[in-house]
Amino acid sequence: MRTALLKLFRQSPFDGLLKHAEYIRESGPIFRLAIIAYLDESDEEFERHHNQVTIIENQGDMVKRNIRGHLPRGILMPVDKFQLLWYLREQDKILDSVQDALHWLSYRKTHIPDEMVDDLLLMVEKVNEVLKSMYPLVSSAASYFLNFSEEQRNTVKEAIHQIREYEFQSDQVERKLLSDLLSYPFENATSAFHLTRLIEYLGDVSNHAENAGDMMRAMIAR
Amino acid sequence: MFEIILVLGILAGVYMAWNIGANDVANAMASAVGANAITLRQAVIIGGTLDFVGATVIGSHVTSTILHKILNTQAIADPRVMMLGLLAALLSAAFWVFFATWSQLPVSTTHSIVGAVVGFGIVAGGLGAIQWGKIIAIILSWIISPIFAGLLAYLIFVVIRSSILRRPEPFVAALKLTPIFLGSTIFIILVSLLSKTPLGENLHIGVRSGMVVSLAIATIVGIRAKSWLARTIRKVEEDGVEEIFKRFQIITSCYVALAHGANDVANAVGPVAGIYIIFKTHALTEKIPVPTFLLVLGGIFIAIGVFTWGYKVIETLGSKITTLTNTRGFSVDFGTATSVLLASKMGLPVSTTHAAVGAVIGVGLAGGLAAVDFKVVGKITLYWLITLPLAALPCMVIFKILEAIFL
Repeated sequence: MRTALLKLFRQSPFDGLLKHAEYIRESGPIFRLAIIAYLDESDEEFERHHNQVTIIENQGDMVKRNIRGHLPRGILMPVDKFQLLWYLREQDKILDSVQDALHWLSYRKTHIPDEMVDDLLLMVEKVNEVLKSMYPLVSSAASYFLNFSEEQRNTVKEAIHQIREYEFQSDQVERKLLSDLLSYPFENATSAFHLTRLIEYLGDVSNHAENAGDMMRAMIAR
Repeated sequence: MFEIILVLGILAGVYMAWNIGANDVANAMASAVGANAITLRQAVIIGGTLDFVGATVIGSHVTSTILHKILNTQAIADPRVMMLGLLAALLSAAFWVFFATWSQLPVSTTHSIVGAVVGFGIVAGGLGAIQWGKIIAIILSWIISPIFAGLLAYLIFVVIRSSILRRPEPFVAALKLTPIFLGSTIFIILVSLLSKTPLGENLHIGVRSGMVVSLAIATIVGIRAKSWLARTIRKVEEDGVEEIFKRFQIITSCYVALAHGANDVANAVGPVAGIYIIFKTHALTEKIPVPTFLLVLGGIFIAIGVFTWGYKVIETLGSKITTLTNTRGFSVDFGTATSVLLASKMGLPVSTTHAAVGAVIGVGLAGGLAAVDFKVVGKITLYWLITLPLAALPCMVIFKILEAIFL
């Protein structure tokens, strides 16, 4: 066979982005179960969920490397290559932060004061909402770059708006939790540090999702 | 001796025609198959039939160029030398095309045959035997045709995106523009079929009347198609738009196949026509036209190439380029076919594949495709450049061998 056309078409980065977003979505419920297991002091179950998230993050990393590896110099796409790579970096950091939070938790067994459990679970819920909302964002963006429909563009904008809203809510809970943690009379300062850092990691998930949303907004800008 | 050369020439020409059908038609038909506008079977039938029509009805201009306008026939006075040289050119181009097909190199049959004919001219009559002005025009057309195809595809996709896809009601917008998109496609097809062709001459249609008739038919078909599409399409919004362009793509596939046949038949038939004319008249002058039966023979073997092997290449290529949706496929097909058909009318042998690559790059530059590798252009240019000497040098060697055997 002798044809130049075959070598012209490269793997679409949007397929990879969608797969990566699916891993993010998949990590949400497991992450939640891991936190509940930690609160219940069920070490075995926590480790099982922790390992699951580690595996998912590893798979996400492979997808990320695959996307990067298939975007050589001179590739033509509907979006700027570097904007896309920047977006990918932010999207990948979401999964990294989920993993970091669980890694951090696994380093120490810290009792979480009862009065903070509800807020912590609320924050986990908000993080979970953020993790769930990445897939619709990428999916609608991939459709937009295919059909360039104004309606689809509005769907992408709505998805970005939704992520910003979750980030705002998560930020509110984060600030309350940090304030409560730093006012709580912990017997051991390490416990305070452990939980404070955990909350920061949880906040990072939403922050990176918001950054990714902002990058996507720039990508769909006319 | 003349009989042997004629038989060998026909065999080499037949192989070239078969190879064009087997490999090159896929570049014209694959986008429609990839976008599900037509099935593989339909692609094979359209590709085979309309390549044949293009070759026989519109193909004489380019064939005449390869036959009469590359070489300065006065510099190679001996018709036997000319006959052997044309055979050597065919054998060399056929060998190079066979090697490129075997090693999957993006090589053009057009460049191969032009390179081989130039090689023969240089070895038989020196640099003066080549009509360098014509060669420069041909080489310029190799640069201009992909760029023109790309520009056209770029513009068409930008228009589709801004005036249809981004509209609040894209399906309605697409219906409104149906007479323009479909009408202009049909207009160009009809003009190319009717003006300065044997068909137009037989029907006693001049250039101006051909244009008027084509415009009238294209306008009527375009307007009727609009109401037909509105009645029969059961999809709306973006899906409806793609469905409209899916149906357009059936027409553009025919258009590309027609343009391909018109331009590429010359690669196989041009030198054979020269051999045949010398066989019959023992002379090669500029005024002898290309025999129609040779164009028919070329068209038949291009069609056989499509039916025997081309379908596999169309299937493989079609399954790989599914990112070409109907709107993109229409832009690519229109850009490719218009560029190639225009070159055919000007008697310039261009590469349909390169025009198709240019058109895909054009849509890619317009942001219409997920990922197109622009670097392929560099590779194609490299093979473009090496094809000329790699077809010319074996031609010189083969000519010397044939000369030693026959003269």
